[in-house]
Amino acid sequence: MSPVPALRHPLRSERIWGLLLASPALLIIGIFSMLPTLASFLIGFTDWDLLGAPRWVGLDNYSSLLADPVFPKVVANTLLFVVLYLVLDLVVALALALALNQKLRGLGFFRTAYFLPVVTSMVAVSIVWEWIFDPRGGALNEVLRWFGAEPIHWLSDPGTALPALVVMSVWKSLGTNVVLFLAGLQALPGEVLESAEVDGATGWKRFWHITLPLLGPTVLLVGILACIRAFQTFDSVYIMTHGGPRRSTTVIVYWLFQNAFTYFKLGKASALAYMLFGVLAGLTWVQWTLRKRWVHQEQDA
Amino acid sequence: MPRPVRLFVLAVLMGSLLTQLAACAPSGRSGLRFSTWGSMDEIATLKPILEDFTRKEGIPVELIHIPDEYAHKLRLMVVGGTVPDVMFMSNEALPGFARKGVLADLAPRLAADGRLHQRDFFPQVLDAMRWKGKLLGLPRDLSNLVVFYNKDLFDAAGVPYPRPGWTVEDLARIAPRLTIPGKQWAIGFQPNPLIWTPWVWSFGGDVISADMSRCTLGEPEARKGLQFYLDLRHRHHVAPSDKDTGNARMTQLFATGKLAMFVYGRWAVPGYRRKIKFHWDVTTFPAGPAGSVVDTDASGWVMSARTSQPDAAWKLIRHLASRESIETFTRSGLIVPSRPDVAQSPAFLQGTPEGNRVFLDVIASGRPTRVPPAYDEITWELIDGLGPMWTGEESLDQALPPVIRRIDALLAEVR
Amino acid sequence: MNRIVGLVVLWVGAFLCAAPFLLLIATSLMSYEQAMTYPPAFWPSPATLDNFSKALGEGALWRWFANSVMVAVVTVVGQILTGAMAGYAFARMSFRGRDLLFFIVLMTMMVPVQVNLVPLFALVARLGWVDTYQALIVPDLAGAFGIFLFRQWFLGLPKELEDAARLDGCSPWRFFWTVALPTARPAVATLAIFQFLASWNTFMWPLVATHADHLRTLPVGLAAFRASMRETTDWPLLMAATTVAIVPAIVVFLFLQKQFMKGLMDGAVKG
Repeated sequence: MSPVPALRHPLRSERIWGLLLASPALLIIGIFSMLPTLASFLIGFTDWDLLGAPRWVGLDNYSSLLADPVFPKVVANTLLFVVLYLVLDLVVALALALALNQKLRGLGFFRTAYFLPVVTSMVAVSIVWEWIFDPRGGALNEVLRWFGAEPIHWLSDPGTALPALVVMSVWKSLGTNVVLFLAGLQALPGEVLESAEVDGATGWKRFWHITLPLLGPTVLLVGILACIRAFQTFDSVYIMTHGGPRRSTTVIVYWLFQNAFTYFKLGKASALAYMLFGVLAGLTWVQWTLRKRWVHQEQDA
Repeated sequence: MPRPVRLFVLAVLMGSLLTQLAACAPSGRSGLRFSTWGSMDEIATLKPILEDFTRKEGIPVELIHIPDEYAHKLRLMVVGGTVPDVMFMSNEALPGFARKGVLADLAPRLAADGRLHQRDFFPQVLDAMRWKGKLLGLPRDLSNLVVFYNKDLFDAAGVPYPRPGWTVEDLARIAPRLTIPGKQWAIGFQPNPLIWTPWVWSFGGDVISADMSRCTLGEPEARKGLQFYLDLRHRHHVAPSDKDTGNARMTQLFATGKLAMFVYGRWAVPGYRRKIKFHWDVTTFPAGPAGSVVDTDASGWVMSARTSQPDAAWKLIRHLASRESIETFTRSGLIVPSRPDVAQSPAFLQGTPEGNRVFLDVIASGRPTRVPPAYDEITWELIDGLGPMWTGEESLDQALPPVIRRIDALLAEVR
Repeated sequence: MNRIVGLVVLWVGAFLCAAPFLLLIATSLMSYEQAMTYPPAFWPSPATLDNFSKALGEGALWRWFANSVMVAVVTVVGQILTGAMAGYAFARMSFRGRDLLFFIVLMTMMVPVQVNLVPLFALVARLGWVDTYQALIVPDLAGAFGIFLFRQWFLGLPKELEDAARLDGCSPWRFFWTVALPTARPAVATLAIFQFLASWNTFMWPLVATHADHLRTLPVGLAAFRASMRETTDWPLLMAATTVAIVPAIVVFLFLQKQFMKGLMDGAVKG
């Protein structure tokens, strides 16, 4: 065998092999992911009930969405959900991560415990929490009763249903953020913290002036991921409240689902989907940019 | 074995498992596919009837039980081409499917059938299954509303029982005597359109105009009905507020003896027979200026227009609508039967409540719920938009106009 | 002092995370009558397995369980195969449009699933796949995350390994299977657990794509089971069914948690 064909042969075949190896994945992703994404954009400009033929209506869906009195309510619900979730999630996760970050034994045990909710299906979790929130005999009201509180109708009161869902969602995803925060904390340069200790900065002061600023990128990253998750809330609403009472828990994805598969207004649902897409794409872009910058910083340091 | 080969073998194994599972799934070709909703108790009643059918006719039936979002899922099955051969359907869902040509006309089959006749069913109930002159289903049951009342609470208050034919004035008169503030209320209060619509109707109003072009809740009669209902709660305090009940279901409040009366349907009866210890009965909805008008809705079995086995599907429908089957459904207590022969038999008339007949007597004055396109969204709007009115946060004048505007817009959307 | 506060925080956190699971299991072991007493009992006495035998005796639960296992296993295997192949191609081979294609694949990660829901259903309906296993499996046989993960891994493969093989006349196909893939064990494990949990827990798509009882996966079946007792909820029975649904995910997680944590970090931090 002469050396020349031996070198040329693989190179030429590499072109074919490369495409060939990538093709199963590309086909699946192309047909079942990219194609629908493009189609969704187009459906957003049509009036379609799934059974008849779609009818081109231009920007009607977008304008009727903006004119729909339910729309501002849904946006407000979604934003309230995201903000409450974000604040509660970050504070609690950071507190737990700080507590974990002190070289104690049994770290694995705690991490696992915090992680159990993460790996459990949202449907199962929602059913369990429905029982916890049950006004009569539910665990939460029973605990409150020890403190003399009147029973609260968590899921059937428009004032408490959304916060109740937030609490459950925070419980569900806490583990992820604890792990991410812990990784961030462990990556902090030890010298800075130690020198701060020598300078006599302790406890709260040290956290506020040194740890937190250093942890900034992690907080942002975790926050954005949490934000994206919160915007996509659906399963719990579907199981626990069906968007009620009085639409107080109708968040954007649930309304999208209702428009698509309850009212069969596919055009409106797709328009809504693209609005959501815009927001999430923006958030993802920020996340990727930050991540790049952060990784570079790390490498520089 | 080298690793890739092992992986490959694993994949092949999985593939064959897949095809095997798919194969042992009861496939449409071997028998009939039949969909229904309902609680587990209902399914337990239904299963022996289906088994009996398979034994007699030699046709296997695959039961597709969809307890939630039934009509919407059926619609997705229509789109996917997997619509069941026979479907259980309410008259509210019927027009949506009929408009799309999904349902077969059963009139010719019923006319040609030797065993089953039109006269076997209450005419009003059969009518509820009609759409534009076609008979699209054979009814299993009719659903309407009556007033459930707690005899013991009436006795304790020294108030005579509400007799059929009683009026809203009677109600207003006796209600304060049946109320003990904070503890017991004369009548339940449900912000559910199904339950409050009879107030509108009985005062001579309507929710949606006959030509389904606009919402008529703003007209004087309808407003009077709504106001009367609202006053029970907010002016006379004879119906519990949300704070009083903590949003517990009225069915529960009645079962625990906290309500003297409440408006509800037949489907509460099986649970009450098992659970309730006190004496209770049912009577008609109180008559308003326009009489005592409640809905006469129905549920029954329809056939897919696309079924490949229409004859077998008809046999199943005929079996389900037979006297024996309807009797079995009726004995569970859950339904008001669609057939007079069963309705007049002990299967329906025996057992609590004594006033079982009331469910039949109100058929004559009843009317089916009007189902425009966008019915689901309109119902949502009624629940959502009127919510603050029921709680007292908004007055009738504040709450109604935006709801009417929105429903008018939804009605106008259909071109 | 700080240490003690920290420990207290950790234990309270752990208890709150675990409490719903304890309640779930305790309730599943109660009789209906016991669960309905008021004020409620939190400890089952006497404990009974009746609910489990009743839940499993319905038959449907087994079926849903088998469906979930099957869909999860097939999609895991599929994602590993397609992901490794494509990841390898994107990392180690040069072909026309490679970078553009990879960029587009990455972009699909940005699209929330809800955007694709409607057209995906229309597509699956057109294919005649509504109420079939294909509908649950095929769209999930490849994913951007898997490709990304494997590409990262194969980028780190020493070039000398490849050159040596090339000189030996080893075809790229054989090299991939016999040399490259076996080194990617950690990536395989990470993807396996991620995809298993994603598939096991996914709800919205199977809710839309399947309607017949016998095709439901556990989450959809569980939701239907819950809905079938809207009027009066038999909490102990429901909790028993829920327990059955969550145990496999937890077991898989406990076995592969190291890979999971690592994958989580890779997904969030690097790239």
